[in-house]
Amino acid sequence: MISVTGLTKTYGETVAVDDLSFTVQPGVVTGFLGPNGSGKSTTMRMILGLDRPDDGSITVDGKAYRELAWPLREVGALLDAKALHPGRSARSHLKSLAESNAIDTKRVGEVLELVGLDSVAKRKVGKFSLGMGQRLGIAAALLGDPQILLFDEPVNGLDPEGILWVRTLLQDLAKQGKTVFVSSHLMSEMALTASNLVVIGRGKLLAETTVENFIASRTTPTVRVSARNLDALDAALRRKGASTTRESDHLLVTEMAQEAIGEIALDQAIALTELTQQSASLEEVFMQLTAGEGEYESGAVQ
Amino acid sequence: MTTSIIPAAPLASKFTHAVRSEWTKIRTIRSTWICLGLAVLFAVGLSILVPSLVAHHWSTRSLADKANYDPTSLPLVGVGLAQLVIGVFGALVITSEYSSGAIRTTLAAVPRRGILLGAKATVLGILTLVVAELITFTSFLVGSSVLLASGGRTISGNESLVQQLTSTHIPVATLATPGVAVAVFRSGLYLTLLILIVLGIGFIIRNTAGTIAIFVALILIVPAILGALPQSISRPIIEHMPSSLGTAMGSTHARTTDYAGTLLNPWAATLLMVVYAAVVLLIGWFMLNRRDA
Ligand SMILES: Nc1ncnc2c1ncn2[C@@H]1O[C@H](COP(=O)(O)OP(=O)(O)OP(=O)(O)O)[C@@H](O)[C@H]1O
Ligand SMILES: [Mg+2]
Repeated sequence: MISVTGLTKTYGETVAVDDLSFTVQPGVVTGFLGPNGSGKSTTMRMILGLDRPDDGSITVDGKAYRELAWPLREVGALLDAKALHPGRSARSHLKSLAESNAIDTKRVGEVLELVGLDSVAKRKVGKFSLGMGQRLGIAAALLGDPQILLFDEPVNGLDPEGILWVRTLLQDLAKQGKTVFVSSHLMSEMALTASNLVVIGRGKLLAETTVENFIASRTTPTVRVSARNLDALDAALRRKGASTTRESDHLLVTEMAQEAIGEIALDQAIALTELTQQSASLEEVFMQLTAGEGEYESGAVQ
Repeated sequence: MTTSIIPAAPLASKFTHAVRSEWTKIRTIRSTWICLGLAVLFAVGLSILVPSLVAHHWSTRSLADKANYDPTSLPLVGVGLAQLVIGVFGALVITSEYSSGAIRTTLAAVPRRGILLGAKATVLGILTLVVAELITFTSFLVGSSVLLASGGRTISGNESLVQQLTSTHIPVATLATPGVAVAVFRSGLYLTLLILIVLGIGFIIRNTAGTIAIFVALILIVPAILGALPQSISRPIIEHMPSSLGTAMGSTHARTTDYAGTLLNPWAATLLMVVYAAVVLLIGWFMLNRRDA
């Protein structure tokens, strides 16, 4: 478990993280969402004791990161896949990390195989492609078989096969009871991967909830329905208390469930040509929530 | 919640593991062996060239020149060049971690800053000591052989200055000459302490170009600028600067040079270098503890 309490960090004039508090639970994938520059990477660096908070505290399994006996065996992290010496081979890089934390060096071969880099283990990491670097970073995170894992944009630079691989890996790790905390720019990706969410904007907490609640609480369930006799259907639904919006060839119905609409249509002997539940995507909800919170918002193209 | 099964680790155990890790890191980078190889090559090369030139012109030298001649220091002349390569190596060991961002990976693995800095200094210090002793003893043996081959005469160590000044053969010291072997050893120790100073500067500056610039300024530029001042001002400063301490450490006694006046006693010079290295590393540790990585 990761607990963040009242975390604040400023760089000169920039408030990168502002009185942020949340917890990350074991056994599920927790997504960390926020627009560019909202403080996700800064928060992760502070969890690893790399940057010093101005205020607030962070504990991992109840302890400060610097106090952990063998940190890599308790917390595995992929922050920046390029944060390694380009002249060293993948194997030597992992070997040095294993030695620093009293991890059996047999693990080096195991994790290299796990991420599919065993054939290039002797190659200099400076020559690695973006995706290979990302895989090496994941191998380093898994090296100590830690209970807590942090990934900052792990699918960056991965091909579709790689993205699917990471998604499955994160979920498998969570299923093993590990705490998995992952940031991503791809909101749609988070909808597929995460079950919990921590959403921030300009360093402040905007929401801490499950993906389901996040969507449900911020959108009105809407049903899209169409029929040959749209006017009759519209009138019938309104009589039963639904709110409807008339579009060219269909109705958007709120405040009434899909089944109820179907039953009313049957009662009125109206043949439906379409009846679909519309769910807002995480992307849409996220955009609404963080509107105006982005540090760098694109202006309209002139 | 899974309970932690990771045993508590005493600091000593963390330190030895950090040392092992730093040793793997330093030996798996090609530039380590390129820098150290170049240092050996430059040192030995210069220790062949300069003694043969000095020996060749010995008979035509002035008395003042002959009085400043030191049979222990001359074959170690290559150390002066080797120190530049050694300094660049010491800078790269830490600044390459900052320029690549690898320092974050390192600090996530070893979050105790003191342990990390101590492990780096230990590995770099031991590796450099071994190579530096190889450099100084090889340079000395090669340099003094060149002198002997160019008409030099082995000294016993009991000759008077007058005998040295009037000798028509250039005096040559051997490792058996009293005080010489330990001076050659101290010369290797100088290179080791110097690289620790540069490591400390690297932790403070964190940037390759900046660290090397400060090092070169310390070794070459500041002494040159000071040389332009009246000797009463410049000499007391120059004699306490690392490069003069290096010459002092490679001598058998507190001898006189034309640029720094009388050098410090060799052991006093050694002690001062230890103090410098300790102070710079302490400042580096302090900043490492306080700053964001
Ligand atoms: N070392 C630093 N020095 C100065 N400012 C910084 C530093 N690190 C981060 N910042 C600033 O803090 C803010 C948060 O940055 P951070 O990298 O944490 O955002 P992020 O959410 O990870 O963004 P992205 O999605 O683009 O990766 C930004 O305004 C950034 O410019
Ligand atoms: Mg980021």
